[in-house]
Amino acid sequence: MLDIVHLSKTYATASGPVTALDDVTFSVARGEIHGIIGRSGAGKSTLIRCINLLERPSAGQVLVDGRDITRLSPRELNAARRSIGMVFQHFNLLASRTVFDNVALPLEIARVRPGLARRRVRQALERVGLADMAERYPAQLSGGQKQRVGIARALAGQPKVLLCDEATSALDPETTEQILDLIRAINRELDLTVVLITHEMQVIKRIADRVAVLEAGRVIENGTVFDVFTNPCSETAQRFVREAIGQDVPARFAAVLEQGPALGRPTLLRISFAGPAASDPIVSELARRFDLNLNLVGGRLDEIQGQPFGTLTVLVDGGPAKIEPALNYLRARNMPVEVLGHVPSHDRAAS
Amino acid sequence: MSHPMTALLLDALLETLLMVGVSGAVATVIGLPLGVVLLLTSKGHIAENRAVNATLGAVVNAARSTPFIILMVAIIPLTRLLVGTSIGTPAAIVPLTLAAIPFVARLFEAALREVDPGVIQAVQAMGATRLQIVLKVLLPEAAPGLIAAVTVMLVSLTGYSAMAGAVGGGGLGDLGIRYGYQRFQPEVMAAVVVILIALVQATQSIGDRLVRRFSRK
Repeated sequence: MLDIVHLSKTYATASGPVTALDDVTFSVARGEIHGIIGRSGAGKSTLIRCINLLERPSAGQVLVDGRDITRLSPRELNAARRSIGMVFQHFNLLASRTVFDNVALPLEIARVRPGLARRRVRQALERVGLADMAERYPAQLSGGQKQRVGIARALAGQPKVLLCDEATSALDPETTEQILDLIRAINRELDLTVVLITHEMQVIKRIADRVAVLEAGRVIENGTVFDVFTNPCSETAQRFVREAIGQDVPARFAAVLEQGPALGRPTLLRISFAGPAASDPIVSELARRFDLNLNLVGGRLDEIQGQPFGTLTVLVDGGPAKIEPALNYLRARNMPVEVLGHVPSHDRAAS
Repeated sequence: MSHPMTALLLDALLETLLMVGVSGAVATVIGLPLGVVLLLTSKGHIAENRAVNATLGAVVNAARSTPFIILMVAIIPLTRLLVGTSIGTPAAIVPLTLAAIPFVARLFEAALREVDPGVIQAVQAMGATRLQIVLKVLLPEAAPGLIAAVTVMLVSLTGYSAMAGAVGGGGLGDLGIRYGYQRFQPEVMAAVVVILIALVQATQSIGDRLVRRFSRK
């Protein structure tokens, strides 16, 4: 439905050119929610704004339904934009218009005849649960309600693609969940393709199907949310995942953790579970099979895209000779395991 | 105060209302598109055009920095061309309008600039043309600020209209000077001042009320 091909964007600034996007390529299939995550300054805002050409890319193509919109005339571009809805962090509603008239705006712009427009506006408002607020003004609404209006406005034009630019970043956690669930529901019911950008992995985890990790204008990781969560390759992705599922190394270990050879010290391991393997009795199996002393110091179980996923942090006694076969055993069973480091023996006792 | 004096005051009031009303209306009609163009062609806006913006800006600034009394005399040929005479109330309306246009255009530009750029972007993303952006977003969203700008202009015009006596324009200020100062009738001067104060107060409160009515924030 959407193909971003070798997209680059360079800004000329007083101190020379700045590259915001560097050869970005990815595709979004119809009906999919594709998340783009990155820190501020990673280029994610520029990227989403290049998709409907609010910003002109310096190079590359944006194919919507196979059609390169970077080559359109201004008139054609306006027509193409009508099939791309957009939802904003700060809602960007017109203060001078009622909820109803805000939602009707894209239809007025597209010159949809009034009777049909009114029907579509009512439908869109019902879908977001605001049918009874049609005559209110944005100033009379809460943040969550304003974003619902923003979503209804984007839906009224019956878009093929919905762009969400940090749509929940200005909302409290509870409202964020409601808005994300609403976007998910709309995506399912209408088979609507959604691209959302965010700096919060929780957002990705809750509703996205696929995720691209953006850093310094480049896509450094791209895959299903489950794959990126269970096996993050880049440092940035690993940090995002840790943020989303919480820090699993207790602070008292994190403070004394050392790399390098074990030198007789206990080793701290992080074992990740994914999919069906998550229900295996892995700890007792390791203890029995490899005669290891395992001390459970941290752990988390979660569900991503409907599949169980978790991590266990364990402290293991014994030198590399004993631990290495266990690591190989886990890896052979497709259970990612990381050696986090070693802790002084007295900390072992303290646990 | 004698009866003829009341009639004189009434006539002068009507002349003032005529001068302020007509020049204010014409200045609004011309100043609004001018303000829109000044904003849209400014840096980073939806129709950025440095040449147009700089030229218009320079003309507007030049017109604003010319003292009104000088402007009034300097454009007498134009006045004669437009209204057929260089004296009287209609002749005063021309320089008043000409002074008000750049003044209110800048006020309009400032009011329009207050519209949230995010809102403009949202509408661009919907595929709106520039004209649609102006008509459906900029003007309605800036309505309270635009009304406040018109109010400020009308109050200023009321003040400027007092100078219209220089070209025989009549009006309250002219009456005050001729009777109050030149004929030593301070009570006429006082009456003129009181009426002007009331006029400005009324203009301001009507303006304020309209601003509140259009304000949804």
